[in-house]
Amino acid sequence: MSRRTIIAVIVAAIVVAGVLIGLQQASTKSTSASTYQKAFTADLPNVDRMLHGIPQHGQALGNPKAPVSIVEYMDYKCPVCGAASRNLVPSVISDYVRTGQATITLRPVEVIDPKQSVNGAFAGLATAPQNRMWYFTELILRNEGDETQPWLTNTVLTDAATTAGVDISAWTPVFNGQGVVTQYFTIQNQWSQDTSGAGLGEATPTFVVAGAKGTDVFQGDVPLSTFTNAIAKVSGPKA
Amino acid sequence: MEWDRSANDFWVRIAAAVLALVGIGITSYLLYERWSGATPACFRGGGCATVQKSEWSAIHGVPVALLGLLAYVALLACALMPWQTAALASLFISLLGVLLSAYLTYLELDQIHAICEYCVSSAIIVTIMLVLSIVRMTMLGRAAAT
Repeated sequence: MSRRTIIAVIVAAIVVAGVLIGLQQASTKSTSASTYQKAFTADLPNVDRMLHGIPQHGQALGNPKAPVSIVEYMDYKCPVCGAASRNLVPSVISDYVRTGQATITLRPVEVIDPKQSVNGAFAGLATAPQNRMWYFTELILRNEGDETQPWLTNTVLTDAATTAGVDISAWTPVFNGQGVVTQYFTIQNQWSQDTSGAGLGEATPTFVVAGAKGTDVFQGDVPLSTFTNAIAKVSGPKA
Repeated sequence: MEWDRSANDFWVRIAAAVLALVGIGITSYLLYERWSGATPACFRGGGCATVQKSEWSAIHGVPVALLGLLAYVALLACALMPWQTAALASLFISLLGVLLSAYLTYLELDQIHAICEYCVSSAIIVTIMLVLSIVRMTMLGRAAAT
């Protein structure tokens, strides 16, 4: 076999490898992080204005002694969650959380994308030990891509975490660890119980408002008055 | 298919066939986990799941694990065939595999920020197979010269 043939085979292998790498880069180009990175950086002052000065403990935002607790079950790729983050959640935080009347806790679940929503949930839960989950989550929800597209890549998640002030070297092993997986499935089971107990289907966002007088569960990008009524209904001394 | 023990590349082909079978096992497992939606059992942390779920794990919807499986099946076929053309094809496929494995390892470190032990094992196997292909080509070249 001639040396020329062997060289031709080597060159062919290099060319084919180059073509395959080019194809892979083209297939991930649509999910380029730079667009999201720019959006996160631009939106950070708004998120900071909304959250600044409010204590964050893991997944929870607000005074831990607040009489009312609000749980938000959300999906990082759910457009209604994104709408709620832009339209509703800022008012809930300013009117009820900042004033010490309620805490609000994030519980990521999956309804949209069995791969990226779940991976996003792992990434979000991994920011909780650094008390940055609210920054991370709001940056993503307020700047979501198309729910049908695979935009919530690990690069986008890492960009959001970096912008949210997460220590990436400490976050990465937690994100890749088993702890967040266990936590995610616990949340998913709790969500099933909360929605079925209220006679609702599994949709996001699901809000569970609990106080001394009971619990109210509702879903969607609801008007602020729904929260006002729910908080009035569940707060106060036990009857 | 010929297994002539007196052929000087016999043991090289045996070793290549065994490694190709191990590669088939690894890539089949990753493909099964991907298509069944399960999470690959990782020896340390959950890096395999992260890599498997990343956007880099497919090329225009074709799983990288499937390409790996096809490559190992082709390498097994090359190991079973005694001809020079098979040795040349083995050199082509294993070199392609090494180049793509190096790129994927770079992605794991730089983009995905997670390491998949199965992918690393496959990268090591295909690198050894490249060395075996070169050894086989050399042996066949010497045999042809004498």
